[in-house]
Amino acid sequence: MPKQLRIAVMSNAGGSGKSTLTVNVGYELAAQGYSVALFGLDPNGSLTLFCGLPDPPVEDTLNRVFQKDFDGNWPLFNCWSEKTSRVQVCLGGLIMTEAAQRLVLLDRKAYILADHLEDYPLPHDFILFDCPGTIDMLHSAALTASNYVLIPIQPDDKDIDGAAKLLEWIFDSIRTLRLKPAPEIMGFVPNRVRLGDRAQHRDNMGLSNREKTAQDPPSLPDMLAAMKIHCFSLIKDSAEIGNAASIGLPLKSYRPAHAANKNFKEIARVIQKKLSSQS
Amino acid sequence: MARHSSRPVSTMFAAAQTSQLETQIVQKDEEINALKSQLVALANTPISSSVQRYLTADFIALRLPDGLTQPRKYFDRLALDKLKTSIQKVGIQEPLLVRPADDGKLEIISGERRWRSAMELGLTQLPALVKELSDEEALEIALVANLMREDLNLVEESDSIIALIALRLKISRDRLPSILFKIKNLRSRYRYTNTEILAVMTEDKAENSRILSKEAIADIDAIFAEFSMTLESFAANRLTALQKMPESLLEAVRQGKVGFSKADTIRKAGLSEQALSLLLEEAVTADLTKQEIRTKIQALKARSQLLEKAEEPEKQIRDRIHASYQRLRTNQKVWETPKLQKHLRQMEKLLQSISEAAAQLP
Repeated sequence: MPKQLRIAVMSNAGGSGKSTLTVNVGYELAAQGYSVALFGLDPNGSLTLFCGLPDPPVEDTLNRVFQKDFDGNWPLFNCWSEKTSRVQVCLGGLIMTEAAQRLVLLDRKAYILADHLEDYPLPHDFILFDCPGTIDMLHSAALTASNYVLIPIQPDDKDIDGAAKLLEWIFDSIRTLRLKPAPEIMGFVPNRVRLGDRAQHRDNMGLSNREKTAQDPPSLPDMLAAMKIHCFSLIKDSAEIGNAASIGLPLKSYRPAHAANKNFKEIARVIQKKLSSQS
Repeated sequence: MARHSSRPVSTMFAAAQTSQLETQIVQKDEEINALKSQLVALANTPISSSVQRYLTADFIALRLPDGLTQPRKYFDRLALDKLKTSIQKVGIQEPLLVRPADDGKLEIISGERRWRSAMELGLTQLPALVKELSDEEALEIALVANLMREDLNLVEESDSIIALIALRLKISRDRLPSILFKIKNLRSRYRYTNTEILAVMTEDKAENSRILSKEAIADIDAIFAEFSMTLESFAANRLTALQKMPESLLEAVRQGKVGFSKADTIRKAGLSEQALSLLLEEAVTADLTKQEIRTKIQALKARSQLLEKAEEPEKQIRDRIHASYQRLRTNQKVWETPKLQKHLRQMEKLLQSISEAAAQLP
């Protein structure tokens, strides 16, 4: 068995930074010498944009992989080929809504991605699944195929509530889909955090200027600690991260000195450690 | 709070926490089953050359952080000697199970007696299987391995089962007995199903609401079933006895000096502390049977009753009557309540006849 780790990036909210994490952590892993495949499961196709690629023809998308008679010919494209040869992408786009609907008809709907990856293994050290913003069939398929789940979250009440429901869904699914070994939650990544002008962010991150009282509800990091789920260092909201994405570059090559590069490195390091502890 | 939020983070995550717990329970069940078959296989396969041997000096008893303790606390001298003889004859038949520690030592999960015997015999190497385990996993396996061997005494076994359930459900050991009693009562008194039990216990807000799910109750039952017991019998027969048993008796049982049922017989007698420790000592040194213990208790009780009678019984009854009368005298309601008139007249009559008899006394 080749050593390969697959990580699902999920959040149950839009704009939390799933594609941003997928792209930047993927690039960081490649910079460390690993080969990486990025899968864009989100019908919004943001991964395509963030990779600076044109929308692929429908027949060369992940849709092909989600067919019963997939022949193992993965629709992979090189990504940032001027900078690296170690990142490939498998793109989705709008067609993924159809793919999700068709999944329902398949015998092994939730297992199709895992099955195909088992039958036609990819040589990459890591595969990152960029999942849609709301829980659907594609999530089941990604979860079933994954070793770990990474959850970016903007610390607004609405998003935290959504992430809590995502967690519940993950634990439920591990039981109902009988996933063995079960995928583990690698951690939450507080992202787009605005401590300066958002009281909600400060409170939820446990970084309020007010004195803490007994009536205060637990912060997100407290809560995660209680559930023994790792919480990564927070990533500050920054226009530059979005700017890099819109021109289709990883932040590291667009703004090498940007503070968030450290965050992506931190996450990549944890992922590398998981890979080495697997062997 | 500066900011108003109708749903605190803890509420948001409540359902996720429950689901996480249920998933952990299912996973633990599977682990335990896998582990049990591994342990059985371990016990049944004779040592082959494939099992790695390690220096006896590198082994050490399992070290756990505060709050988690080893199930076995005592090592019976006789049993150790027996094991030593067997090891001398045929060697160590079953590899130890150990985990590697940061300081290079091998912490023993299963096989501490074999290790102690081997040290006393001066063996330099021991066969062992090394497995990376967290503190909780290590304790869980140690508990299961010990329980499976069935050579723990009853107090150690009960302690272990409680520890195992507490560990799996992630609740403190102190709180578990009251939860078990509650489930047992709801079942035996009202024949409640798990769903009904859960409903009752959820209403009981302060204590148990967050802890128990239907799956958790089913899991407790499954653990008892694994060791051929039921929650009801465990609570009724053992927990009650364990909770009421004075520490001196518990210690004696833990150290294997006296059997559990003998200790329980002594406990039920309700003797004074001094009488209890004397009887316990006699039971241990003379190795009394349960019947002999019972006879001793009867004798002790008869003697103490005689003593009580001899010591101014009259004065005691006078004081008692005096005290009750003092209390009633000033309570106007007692003298006015129609229902009590009959009793009061009876009392008056009795006092009269006692006075008359007193007048006849020399």
